[in-house]
Amino acid sequence: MGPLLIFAMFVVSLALQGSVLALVGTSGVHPDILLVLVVVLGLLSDTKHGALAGLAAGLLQDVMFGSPLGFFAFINMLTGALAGMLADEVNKDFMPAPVMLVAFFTVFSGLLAFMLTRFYSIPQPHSFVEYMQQVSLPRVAMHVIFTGLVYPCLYRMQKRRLLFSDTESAD
Amino acid sequence: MPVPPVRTRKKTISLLLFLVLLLGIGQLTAGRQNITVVEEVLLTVVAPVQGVFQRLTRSVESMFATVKNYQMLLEENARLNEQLAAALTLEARLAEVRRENDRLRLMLGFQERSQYDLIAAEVVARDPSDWFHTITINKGSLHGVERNMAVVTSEGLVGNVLTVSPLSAQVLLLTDPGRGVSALVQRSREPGEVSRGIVDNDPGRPGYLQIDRLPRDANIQPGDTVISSGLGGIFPKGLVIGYVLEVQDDDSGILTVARLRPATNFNRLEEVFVVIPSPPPEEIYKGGF
Repeated sequence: MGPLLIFAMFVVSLALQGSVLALVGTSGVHPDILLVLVVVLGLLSDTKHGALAGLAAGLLQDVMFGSPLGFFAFINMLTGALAGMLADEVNKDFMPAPVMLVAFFTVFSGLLAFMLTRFYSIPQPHSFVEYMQQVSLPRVAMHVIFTGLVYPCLYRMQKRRLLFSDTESAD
Repeated sequence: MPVPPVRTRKKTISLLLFLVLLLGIGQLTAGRQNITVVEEVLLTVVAPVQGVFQRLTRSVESMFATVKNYQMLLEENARLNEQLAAALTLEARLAEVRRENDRLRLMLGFQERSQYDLIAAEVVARDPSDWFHTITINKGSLHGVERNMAVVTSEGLVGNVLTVSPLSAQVLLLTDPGRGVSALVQRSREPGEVSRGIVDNDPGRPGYLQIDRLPRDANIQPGDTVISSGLGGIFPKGLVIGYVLEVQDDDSGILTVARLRPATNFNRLEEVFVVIPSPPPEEIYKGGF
């Protein structure tokens, strides 16, 4: 049930991201709730599950929105894996910890995405500093709010083993 | 430095290899035009979900647009109401100015036609009580107004100046019960005396005047014009006083009286003329306060 539920969450998140959430935000910057889910799922599981969740989410995003196959898969897989590595280090009951990590991984994934656009020779209208100032930082604020909303739900779900049943990390 | 367990190392190496593989796949598929069967299946599965959210988005957008439009409509409505109020005020002012213009044109024509020297004046006050039928005009002794000068409009006789101050004057109206004006019927030149005005407070109905001391067989009939006779010295001869409404015998049955409709609407006096007489005026006011 866990993988299906997670997949459904990814599909709904992507559908929301491409529709309703396009209305949210300013200056063309919208929240990337899929990334938030990947980070939170990584923190609630372990490296392996975090990486797999990130890979699945990224591939789905690549397929659904026509980005080079592997672009978001790379970013989200690495992000999910790193978040999973920190799973044992984070006090999951202490809400600010996942919120701060989501903020950190938002900047991190932004950095990765910027580097990958160079790697794939995808034209970018922003310089790195501009990208960080105009895109990444506003997105951090949105993600912090969104994490505050979804983390408690996902945490409760994981406590009931609805998401990952065989994680290596301690709950 | 502690050495990571073999299992962890394997995982890390796998992860890195997978990431490199993803980069390679991305590099290879960056310019592709076709999608694979797996992607096609995935998109087919996901498309309905996207459709649902797209409809949801449209609904939300529509709702926001409605709210925005409602706000705009409210603002537009308020703005239009303000404009309407301003336009109505302007229209009222315009109508007022037009009426004033008509009156002034009439008065100007009258002033030019008149055989008398006239001082134009505006009515600035009216005695609100029923006891004294007076008005106050904005011309006084500094303008050449003197006591007992006749006051007229283009329609007819109004009254005479009762008291004068430097910048204003009080005018006793014809409708005051205490005054009398020597008059005659314009058609038949029948002499008599216009007296005892009857004032109605209804602004739609002007007060009435009465001409009495007419002989029983006086040549007077409804519709006749009654003018000032010039006797007495205050009112120059030929000023229209009113029009005969009805003729009847007086209480004694010896003389005839006639009810007149005043030529001037005393309830709507706004601009008047003070007549400057050729000879010095004499005081004949019989009533007084």
